[in-house]
Amino acid sequence: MAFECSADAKLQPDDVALVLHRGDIGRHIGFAVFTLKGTHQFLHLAWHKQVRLGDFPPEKCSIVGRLPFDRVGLMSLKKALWNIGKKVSNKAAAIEIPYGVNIDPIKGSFKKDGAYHPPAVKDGLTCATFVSELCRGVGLPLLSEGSWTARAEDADWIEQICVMLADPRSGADEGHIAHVRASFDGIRIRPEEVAAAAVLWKGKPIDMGPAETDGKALVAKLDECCPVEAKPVAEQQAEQVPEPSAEQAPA
Amino acid sequence: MLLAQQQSDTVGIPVFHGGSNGFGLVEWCDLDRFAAVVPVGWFVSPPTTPSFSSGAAWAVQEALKTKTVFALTASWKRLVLDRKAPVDFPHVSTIFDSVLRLIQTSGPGQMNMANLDAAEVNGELLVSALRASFRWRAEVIGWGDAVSVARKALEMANHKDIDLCLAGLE
Repeated sequence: MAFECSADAKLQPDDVALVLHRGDIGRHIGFAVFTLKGTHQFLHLAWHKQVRLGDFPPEKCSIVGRLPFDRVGLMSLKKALWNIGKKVSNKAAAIEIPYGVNIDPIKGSFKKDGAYHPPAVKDGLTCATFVSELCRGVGLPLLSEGSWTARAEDADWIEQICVMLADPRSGADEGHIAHVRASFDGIRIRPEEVAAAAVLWKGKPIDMGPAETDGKALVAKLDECCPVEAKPVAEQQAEQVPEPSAEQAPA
Repeated sequence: MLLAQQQSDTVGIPVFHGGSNGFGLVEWCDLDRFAAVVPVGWFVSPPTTPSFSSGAAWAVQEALKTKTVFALTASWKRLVLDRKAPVDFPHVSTIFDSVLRLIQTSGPGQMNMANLDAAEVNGELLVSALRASFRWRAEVIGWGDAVSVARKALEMANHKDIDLCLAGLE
């Protein structure tokens, strides 16, 4: 299973795929799943309490890779995604997933009907753990989360996340923001690492090492498909402190 | 209180009809007809005070739960036990819906995957039932054994990639 430019991809109705594009910070990931609309749609955790079902390919330039599960695994995952998509379409409160960064408590968050049942503490998911948890929920874990270790550069990431959550438009209350900041243990699963795990997966969950290495290769693939245009310096400086975007949650 | 005149072939319940000093008549009530006409208020928790009407309502409620378990179990098992059933999204979806509703309404302990015969099951559809109930595998009766049955059924069907089909379940 390899990633390709979404613009060139020809997904079949039975395909369930992962979509990777640039976010406000780093990359953003979600699912491409065939729906009753008769086409693939992009299902993703856009931001705090914002699960979105939109067009595929998404507006932002992206790459896409088909998940390597067998047909029953794919259909099982598709059904789970349909259940969530239905709730998103009905604007059900049961699918309001908070943005949260602590990996351990989130296991088992999703029930098969698509409802989100948060763990006891005020945690939540990122776009990356939204994907990994849904796969885990049908018995197809992509990652071996216990192998992930802290990286120094993610200290900046969590600060940026908390700034964005603090923006009133995010809808996050102070308690949740404080919990996110306090609960972060330095361990972050990056969207490109979830995508890489899907590429490497052959029946067993993938450790951090190979996922991190291949994740960087996928970022290079993304840059190849979606070249970054150089922006004027003034515009680059204005983007130093990102504002929360409703469409592309950092992960 | 509504009474029916015939014993049901499915889940029947005794309905007590009587006054304050005892029940005067016991008849069998067809569950579906009873459920159709009894007001919602009849379906209450187990009675806290001894009273024939609330006791009977509780009996109805329990009987309906039994019927629900029976119907939902039949729904997923019917497909899993059909070796010729196509392994397609509608069938997988039906199995998922039945399994989820069963677990949500009656608890994972009411899902029984024990004593399946590999010679009788559709291996891939059994796998879909296993994936549907994956989160509750520790509480579903016979879940682990059903994985072994699925493997045998897939072998008997000459499935091309059994390990991939069962990935994450064993």
